[in-house]
Amino acid sequence: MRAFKILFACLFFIVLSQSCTKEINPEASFKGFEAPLNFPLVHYNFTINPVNKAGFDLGKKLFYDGILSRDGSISCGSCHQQAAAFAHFDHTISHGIDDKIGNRNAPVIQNTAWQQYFAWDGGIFHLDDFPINPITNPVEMDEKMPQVLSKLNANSTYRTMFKKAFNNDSVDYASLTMALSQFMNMLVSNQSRYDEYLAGNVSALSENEKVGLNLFMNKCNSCHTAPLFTDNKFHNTGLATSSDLGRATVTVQDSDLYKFKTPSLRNVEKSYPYTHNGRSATLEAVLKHYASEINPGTTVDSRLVGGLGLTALEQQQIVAFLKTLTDTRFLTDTRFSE
Amino acid sequence: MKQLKNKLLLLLFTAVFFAHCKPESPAIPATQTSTIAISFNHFIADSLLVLNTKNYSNSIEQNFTVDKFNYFISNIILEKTDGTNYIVPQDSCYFLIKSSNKASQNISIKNIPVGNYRKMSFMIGVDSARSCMPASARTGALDVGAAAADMYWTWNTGYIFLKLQCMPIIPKGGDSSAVIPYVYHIGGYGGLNNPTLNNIRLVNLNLGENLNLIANSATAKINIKADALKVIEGSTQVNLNSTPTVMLTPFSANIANNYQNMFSIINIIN
Repeated sequence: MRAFKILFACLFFIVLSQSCTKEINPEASFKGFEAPLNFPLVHYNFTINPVNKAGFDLGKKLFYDGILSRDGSISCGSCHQQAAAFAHFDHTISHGIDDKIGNRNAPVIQNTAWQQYFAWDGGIFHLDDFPINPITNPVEMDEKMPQVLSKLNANSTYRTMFKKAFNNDSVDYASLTMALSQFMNMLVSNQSRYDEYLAGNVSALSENEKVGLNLFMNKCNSCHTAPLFTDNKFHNTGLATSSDLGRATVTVQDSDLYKFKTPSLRNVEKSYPYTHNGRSATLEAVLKHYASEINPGTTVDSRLVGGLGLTALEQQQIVAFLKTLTDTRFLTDTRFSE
Repeated sequence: MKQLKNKLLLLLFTAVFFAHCKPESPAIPATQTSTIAISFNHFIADSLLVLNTKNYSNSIEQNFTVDKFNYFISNIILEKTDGTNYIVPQDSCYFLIKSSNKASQNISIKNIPVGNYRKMSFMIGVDSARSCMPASARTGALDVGAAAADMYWTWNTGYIFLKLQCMPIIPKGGDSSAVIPYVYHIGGYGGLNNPTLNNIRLVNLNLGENLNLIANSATAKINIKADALKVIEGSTQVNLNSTPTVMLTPFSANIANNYQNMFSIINIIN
């Protein structure tokens, strides 16, 4: 019997030691990614890259760090500012390294988990693969990816953070991208006055704004589809064309000429100027374009041909509604701040 | 005696408790296999390709030097004389071959079943399934943070399948400031949700029933010729001066059609 007692004692200690190697989770207060209940299914594959505190903290540090650029001067945050819903406040085209400029307007970064394509022409179809684009663009951050990884690997703080987030001994491309995606995917905007109205607070919108909402649903929603306010598709909205071929740049299909991705209109009040190259300074200018300034073209969306015929009052009411999509909590949430 | 019996019982229980249950080895003998070395030898027509310093001409008498010649090969299949195939596994069938890196031009394929082989097939480029996988599944030769850093379109997520970069030869006393490099970056796997350019090309090389692979061969080798001139000539003659740059445009399909024929077998060593 004594042998059995010794055996059971051994087993007991083995079992106990197994449960003692599990730490009590110190990050229990970090809730991770939470999808609003009224949003459609996410597109991002969270099984491969779920959001956890270590990855989020690392992604945020990287987002605001000029180390990703050739000379350390440009970070993602340089052109993606929280107060502008992570667009570039009051910039048509952003200035990157050495004050160089490109040809496209810095878009907002919000609700990325629901997006299927990234960049105005949708050239990138996975959020993880987006950052390498500005990082290596000679007019943005002008750095080479192996060099970025080399710098991060030489930085003991980053090595520790990467080890904690991904349990890898050195920083590689996949984990760099996953960290940035964890930060970006947390940028969920769904608490505007419009959302309050949707949730049942009838006084969240003024009467004028409610009229605007109705007009919007009739005239704009087929592309700027609520609640994300984008259909994630590409359209030619009848803007005067330039050498920027839009979607056709990546698909090499004539049917895609001059088509650009429908931007989400959430926080649109804060993300001026508008269109893929920032040519429209105000919402009023945009509405005027949709009302009566649609240019002809073979790929112009049939719903826009001839203009939407909105009166000046209707345009003003739609603008009033669009301003209710401003989510102040999102724009000031210190979890996302530099 | 009772103490000894208890100790023996304890020993017995401990032994039983800690014994690992290993699965038994299968009774059937494992297939015999071997490694094959494959060497990609780079030429311009019948001259060995030497980067930067050597002068070459195309068929329309345009003279140039070559400063870059890189390409992906992948999805290798070896076909036996009895018609059965050995498909190189996904985790080891992607290679980035570069003229600037002699080591990259010599690859080895392991675990090939012994037998007589008559054909080798492969893809020039990266297949669409792999192209659309997350970065964690695109490692080794496909790692855009390392090996594949300069063979990747960041603005249109996908690999550059083949890069040929040349410089025109400036006559003595000529103006070098007006030099336009000849840059050919060919990619396009066909698109994810909507069809786009598909410049993936398949190559079939007839081994002429000459590869007789024996177990654990230390010498089995296939020497392949890759004629870089066939990137810019073939079914379409590229005029270097009038078409100095080709990237993702419909014309790129012509170049892919050209280089589909750039490989040939030099010899096979058993």
